[in-house]
Amino acid sequence: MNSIERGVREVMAAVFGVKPENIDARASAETIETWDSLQHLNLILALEERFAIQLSLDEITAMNSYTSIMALVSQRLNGSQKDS
Amino acid sequence: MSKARQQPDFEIEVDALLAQGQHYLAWAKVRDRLHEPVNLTAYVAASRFADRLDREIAELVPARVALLGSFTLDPIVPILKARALSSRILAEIYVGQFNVWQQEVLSEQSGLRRFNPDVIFLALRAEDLAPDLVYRFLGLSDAEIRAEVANATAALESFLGALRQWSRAKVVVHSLASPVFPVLGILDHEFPGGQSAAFQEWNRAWMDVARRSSDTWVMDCDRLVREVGWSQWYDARFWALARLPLSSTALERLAEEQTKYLQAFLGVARKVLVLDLDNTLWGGIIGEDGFHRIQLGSDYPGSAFVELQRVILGLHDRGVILAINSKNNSDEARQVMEKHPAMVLHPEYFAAMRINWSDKAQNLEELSEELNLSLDSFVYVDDNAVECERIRQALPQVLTIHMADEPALRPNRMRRLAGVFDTLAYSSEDRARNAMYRAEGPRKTLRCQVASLEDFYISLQMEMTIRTVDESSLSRAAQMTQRTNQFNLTTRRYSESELDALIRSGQHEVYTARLRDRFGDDGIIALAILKSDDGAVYIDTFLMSCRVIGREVEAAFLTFLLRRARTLGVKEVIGEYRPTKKNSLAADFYAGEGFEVVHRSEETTLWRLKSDQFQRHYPRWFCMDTDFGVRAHEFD
Repeated sequence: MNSIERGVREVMAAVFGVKPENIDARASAETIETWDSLQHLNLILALEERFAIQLSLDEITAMNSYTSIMALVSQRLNGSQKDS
Repeated sequence: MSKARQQPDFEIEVDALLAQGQHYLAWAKVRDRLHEPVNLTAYVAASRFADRLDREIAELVPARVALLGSFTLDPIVPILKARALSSRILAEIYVGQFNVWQQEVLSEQSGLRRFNPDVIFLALRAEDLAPDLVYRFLGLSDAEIRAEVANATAALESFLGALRQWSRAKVVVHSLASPVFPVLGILDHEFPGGQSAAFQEWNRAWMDVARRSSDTWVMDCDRLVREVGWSQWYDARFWALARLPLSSTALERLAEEQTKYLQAFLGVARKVLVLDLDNTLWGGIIGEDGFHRIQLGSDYPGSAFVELQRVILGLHDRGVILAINSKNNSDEARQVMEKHPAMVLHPEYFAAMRINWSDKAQNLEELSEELNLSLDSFVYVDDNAVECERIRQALPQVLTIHMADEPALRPNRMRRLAGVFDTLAYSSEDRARNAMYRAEGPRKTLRCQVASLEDFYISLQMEMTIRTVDESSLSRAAQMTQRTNQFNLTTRRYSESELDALIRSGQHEVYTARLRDRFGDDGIIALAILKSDDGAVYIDTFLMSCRVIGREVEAAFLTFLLRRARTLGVKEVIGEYRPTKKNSLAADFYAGEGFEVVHRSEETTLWRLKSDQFQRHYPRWFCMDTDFGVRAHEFD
């Protein structure tokens, strides 16, 4: 597991109150009970702080699963330009 | 680039303490963590710990806090809970649905009623209460502007009126921040009919309401926005997403401020500021650098220390009690405080002082007795990590602040820290408080039991390395003979070449001792010069940096020298003490180590130890690395 994966898992675990081990590719707003719109906000706040990034509104609304979060955060950290 | 994750050590440590039932210590650890730079995850973890602490054992004060407003407030909850916890408050928090703040007080069935709060924070946006004032300002006549403000004021009054029918809860209303982009641009602030003026009028009107009502206050949010900066405060994305107009920085700043109100309401503000002297109130060490070389004055870093003293003087005037806890010769330290031209904090500003060579935890216990104030109202500030650790371990109820930043940063750090003293009352009594304590004089001080020093020393994981002086250490060794004044038995000064000549003479041995501990490497901190002479070893020089006084470094070093004497096969070791104005601290050193006096005159005392007394153990808490080999801690 690389550090981005670990980071995302830890943030999600902290925000949703679940164990990091229980966050996997299936984790999404549908499968995690505590993932409501308010927690989504907390999630964004925590991810931005943890990875020192700023997310756009589009990205924020698109991040509703572990996989989409991983994709967006990795892309941002690896310096690639966002596709317009 | 991703930020390095703050080690979750504190979570593991707190978990362990909770598992052992040590709830007070667990709380103290959380509190200390929250006084360092924090992030959201730390806040969330801390707020979760709040729910696991036994309120009584952790000595927490409960508070039922309601957050009402015209926008989303929920994300602040874990941050507020954590900050309150660090001030000893266990906050149970109710968040009203946004924009139903009026219904919450009017309806008998409301969640707020059932929650029955002790404190209510009311956060309203001008945009919600008086949208025209924000968006159509220039379309309003003067009379209409006044009417908008009057309506907003009436809304607050009816809120309070309805609330007071059934609750005595304290109410703190968030003031409005002045518009950052006022409608009239550069003209606005000078124009009496400008938007900024209208907002100021609004805040003034609310403050009038607060003054007239009981238990109602207005929180100055404008100041918070100024401190953080509007561009860091308002987050347009969160507003669009969830009607949260605040960034995480803003949430943290607000929670900090709200906590100060809770602290004031519950009477848990801290009251006493205890300060170290060397490298805390001035740069350098008075005992080593001397009156004219300590850094205090108009040049940096002295100027930063002057400013820090000014900030502290402001606290004194506010009624915070000041005290000193310093390892120093009392006369020397007092001389600086009384006579140094740049000194701001003269002795008269301090209610009590402990300037001595005793254990600093013991000193704090005595200060607590003398001032008749419990240690949980104390704040202790020191630049020395080891001293801070001693206090944190022995007296966790004291809020210990390790202040070792660049001097330029310390005045603002002290200004921020001063929030722990905030209360909601100020009178002439507060200004006179320190004087009252001084006038009463020191009471009988009781010797109190403090947590074992030995356990503390062991926890430091100290390693002492003793070597003969060589090329790389010659310069430091010479410097130590020239600059060490306090723990210096004979005060003989040597230049590098003189020391070098001594070593080459074949009759002398020069040893340095280096100390490392959990907090870092102190470098070479002690020096000894031995001279072999006719079946005896004479200790020409024995000195130690006052930075490491109080850990029995000198005893360990001497133990090594005695072992060396044994290998040389001598019959006795002779030590000498030559009294000076500064080294009275070392006067009883040889006596304490079992030497006997063989000669005494005004200038010098000679001490002798016979060879049957050479063998002894090192103090248990040192790991010794010497020419005799590396020895792990010697536990009998």
